[in-house]
Amino acid sequence: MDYIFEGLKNAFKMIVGLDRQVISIALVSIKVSTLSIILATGLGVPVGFYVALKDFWGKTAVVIILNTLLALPTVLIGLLVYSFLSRQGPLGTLGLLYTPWAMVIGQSILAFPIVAALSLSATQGVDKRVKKTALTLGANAWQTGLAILAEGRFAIFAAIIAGFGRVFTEVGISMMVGGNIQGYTRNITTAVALETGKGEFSLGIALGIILLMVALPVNILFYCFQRKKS
Amino acid sequence: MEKPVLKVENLSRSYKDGFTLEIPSLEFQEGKSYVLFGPNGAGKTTLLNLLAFLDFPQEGKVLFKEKEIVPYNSNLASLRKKVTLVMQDPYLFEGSVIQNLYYGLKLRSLRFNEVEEKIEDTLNMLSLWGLRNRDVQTLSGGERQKLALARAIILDVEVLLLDEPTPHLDEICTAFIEEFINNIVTNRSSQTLIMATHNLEQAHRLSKEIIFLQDGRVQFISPKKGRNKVK
Repeated sequence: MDYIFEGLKNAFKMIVGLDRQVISIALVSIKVSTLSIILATGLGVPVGFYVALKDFWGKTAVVIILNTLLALPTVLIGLLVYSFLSRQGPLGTLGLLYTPWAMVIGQSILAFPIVAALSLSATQGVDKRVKKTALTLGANAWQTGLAILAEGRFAIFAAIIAGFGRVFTEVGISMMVGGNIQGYTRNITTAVALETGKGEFSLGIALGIILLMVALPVNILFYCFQRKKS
Repeated sequence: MEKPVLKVENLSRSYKDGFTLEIPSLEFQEGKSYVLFGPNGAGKTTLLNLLAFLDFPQEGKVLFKEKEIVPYNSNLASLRKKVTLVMQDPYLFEGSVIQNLYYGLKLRSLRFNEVEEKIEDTLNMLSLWGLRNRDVQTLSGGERQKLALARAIILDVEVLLLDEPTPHLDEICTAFIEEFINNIVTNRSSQTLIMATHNLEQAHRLSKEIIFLQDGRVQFISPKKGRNKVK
């Protein structure tokens, strides 16, 4: 047990002392995950919104596929992105493998079905009368869509937060396509895995605490939005 | 001869539950008030939805000022700015009373002064001025109904459709809304008002032209007029 307490003590020292290595690793995580969630939101929210509101051939299949993708393992996404970005892959010439951009691509793929499926559910949860009310007050299709989006904004925001939580804590994609390069693609989760393997518990625990420190305000925000909605 | 503002020709609209609305011919003249009377499930709401261009017939036509209304018409949104429907169980957007009134005006790109004036007048007309900044979630049933009515009235539309405007309201609130509707009929000579109710006494209090619907068909129109006669 002593090594755990020792690790905790050192972890707090590193955080309070703004250890350069810890800060660098945390920044990689924050930058990559933020960019990923922005991309996933840009694509996922409109897709969820469209599928929820439009009737089209194959809609049920799309919903089933989106829900299935929620359970997509990160290593599978890592493998997929790796195969595309590796030197022999179709996008190998871009030279993106083992860069933060490769991690962004992988994490966006991971977050997309989460944001899309939860946005779909959020949009379906909006009162059906919103559409009718907006239309009868003179709104066009675009303005009606905005009215529905506005009424479902808290649930859609919750979908984005859920996506962020998922990408921020994933390790498979970052390890496979980021390469865990120190000062470049090493993020919190890959660093924790590496340091634990090396027996360096202090750094691992410090990074774990930072992970929780980011997750906590995000969840407080999520709770506030949920409360506002109810 | 007056041209009808809304006209229905050989209309047929069926639903999965087996209900079918069939109306061979029906006209609504500009500036007049009409009551659609009938029991629950008679087709009043279905007809109002068709007249508000929120739904479309499978057969036959709905005409607005002699022009047929078809789905996916690029002009549909601007047509809907001329006809508005207050639903039986109206939805109020999240926010304050004023924000709800502002929604339809914002879509019409009115000038700020005009918007302010309209909001103030409408709130006073419906005794809602004191509630202007209240969150709609905190309003009573009667206040919500008044606000839904105010949100439609403020738009100065050509045709105002009201679907059961006083459901589950107390007598005082019902009397207030009925008086308000009668004032609209008296003061807005160019506005056509079509209201649905299942209350015969209310139907008589609000209009002389009562269209009796049952089982998706117009049974008779009171008083009988040649142009409204069911063919």
